[in-house]
Amino acid sequence: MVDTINNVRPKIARAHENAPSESNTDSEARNTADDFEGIFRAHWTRVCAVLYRLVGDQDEAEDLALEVFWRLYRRSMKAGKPENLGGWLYRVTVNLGYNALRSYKRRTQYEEQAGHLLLDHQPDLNTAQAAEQAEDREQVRKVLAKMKPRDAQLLILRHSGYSYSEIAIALELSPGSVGTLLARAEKDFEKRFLALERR
Amino acid sequence: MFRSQKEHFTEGDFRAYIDEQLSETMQEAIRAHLQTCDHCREQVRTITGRSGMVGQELQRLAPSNRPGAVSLNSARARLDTYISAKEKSIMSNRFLGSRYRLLWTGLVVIAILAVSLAFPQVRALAVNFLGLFRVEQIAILPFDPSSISQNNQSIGPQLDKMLSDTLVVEAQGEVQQVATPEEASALAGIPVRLPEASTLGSLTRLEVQPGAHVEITVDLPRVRAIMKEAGYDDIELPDELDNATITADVPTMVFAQYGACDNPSAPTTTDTHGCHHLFQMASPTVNAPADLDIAKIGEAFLRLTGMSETDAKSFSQNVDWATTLILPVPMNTDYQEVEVDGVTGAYVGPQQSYSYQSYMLIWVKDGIVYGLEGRGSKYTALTIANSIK
Repeated sequence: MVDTINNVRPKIARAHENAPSESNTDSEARNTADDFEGIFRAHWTRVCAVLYRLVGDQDEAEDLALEVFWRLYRRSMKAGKPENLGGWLYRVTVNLGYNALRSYKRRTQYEEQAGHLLLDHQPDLNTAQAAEQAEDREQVRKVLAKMKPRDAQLLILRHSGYSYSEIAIALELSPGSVGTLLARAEKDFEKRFLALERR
Repeated sequence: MFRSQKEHFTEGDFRAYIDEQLSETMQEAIRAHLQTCDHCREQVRTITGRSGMVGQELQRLAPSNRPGAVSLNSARARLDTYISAKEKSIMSNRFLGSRYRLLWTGLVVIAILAVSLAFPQVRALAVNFLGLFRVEQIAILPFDPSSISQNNQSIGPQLDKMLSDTLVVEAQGEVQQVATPEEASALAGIPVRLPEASTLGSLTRLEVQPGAHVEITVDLPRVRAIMKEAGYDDIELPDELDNATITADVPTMVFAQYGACDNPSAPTTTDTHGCHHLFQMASPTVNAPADLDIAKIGEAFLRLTGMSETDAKSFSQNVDWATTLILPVPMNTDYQEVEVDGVTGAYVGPQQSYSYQSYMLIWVKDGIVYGLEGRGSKYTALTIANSIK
């Protein structure tokens, strides 16, 4: 885990240093815009990565990420930056991503495409293998789609490398309860996964 | 650490222990405890195994070489496009006026549009008129703008199209500037009365605005389709409305302006000057087929303002739609019935008192509808209105 959610501020500061110096007006709007720019640069890739895990398609993940940042933009225009930006951002991200995961039909289609895409990029892999990998991923998403949303989101965040405190903030849980909920979610995942395998 | 003394840990503790997400003390306590507790060691082993299995499965979802990933800069450019498209759709939604437009639809259906066309000042306050066959009294109808359905992004253009297809407005003449109230009276055919309050600035404009004849033929299926799209499919409109031709005659209006109105947004320092408008006209008349159930249509209109079915029904039955001008007023304004010019009228103003205050008064006396609006307090408004001679 390179960044922590709570580390947004220092990251923005860094992004500012790297940004090409523009003619600076001191206006508030300018600051908001700079802020937004920094947040975008700091979080875009991670938001996309989380969404990719959930939907399994790069384009779909990026489309959803656009929606996430649009909501942030609109929110900061209206009410200023959310108090706990990182928590807010990843909460919106997992919510949108998980909803997309549950819209099942489209996903199957994506997985098929993804199989072909993989073939294009790794020509040494044979068709059967690619198809099998796509099927395995499909299996995992199927299980996630059946779980309680919070449990599925918890698993995705944790196994994307987020710390317990980050998860607590994003999912609005008490930090002390993350271990318990995670253990429970993993049990549920295992049960459902094995049931699916056996069929 | 109490728990280490009691030597009891939960599954959640062990799960967090495996991920090393506990405080150092807690990590250490569990480590020590595991030395002595076979059962717990077994439990930790199970949890570790399960977590590993889940992690392995979820790892399949991780982005691999991600062939399609775009660069940060092109993603930023895409975001710009996305944001401006979204903003555009919100703006057009707001300005095509889905909310107020819908109120308006209700009005068009009952052909009261004519009145708001003739009273630009009134329209500016998002006030609409309803069901006046001939106005004799005014009733205030507070409504909650936020309760008006918002899922109607797409109905704006349809509504425009329907209006242009079914509504005919004929203005009768041109706006004429006049010098004296006598001249205005002669042109408008009503005895023009003007205020004489000493607090009032000088008369800066007096004009006679032409009346209009408005005719609409109701295309009921179309109206219903639009209402349905806007989320009002539970509101009933009587079948007789279909193909009914409704006409409204809006008489000539006399418009008087007092004070410096060139910069209407400038705050007034005192109540004594500023900008005030008075308009007066004979009551507009509306004609509709006799078999039309006006109470029913009024009820539909009330529902559009967010009123519940029961409330709308009882309100509708208690109001004389043929003589009452219903003044829908957003709830977050200050509104009340007031005694003005010897009759009962309606006052509408902002809820909070700003240094910039505005007011509006509407009343009906001897068959003439009066409207007074401007900057100042309710007191200012009443002083001016009561000085009308």
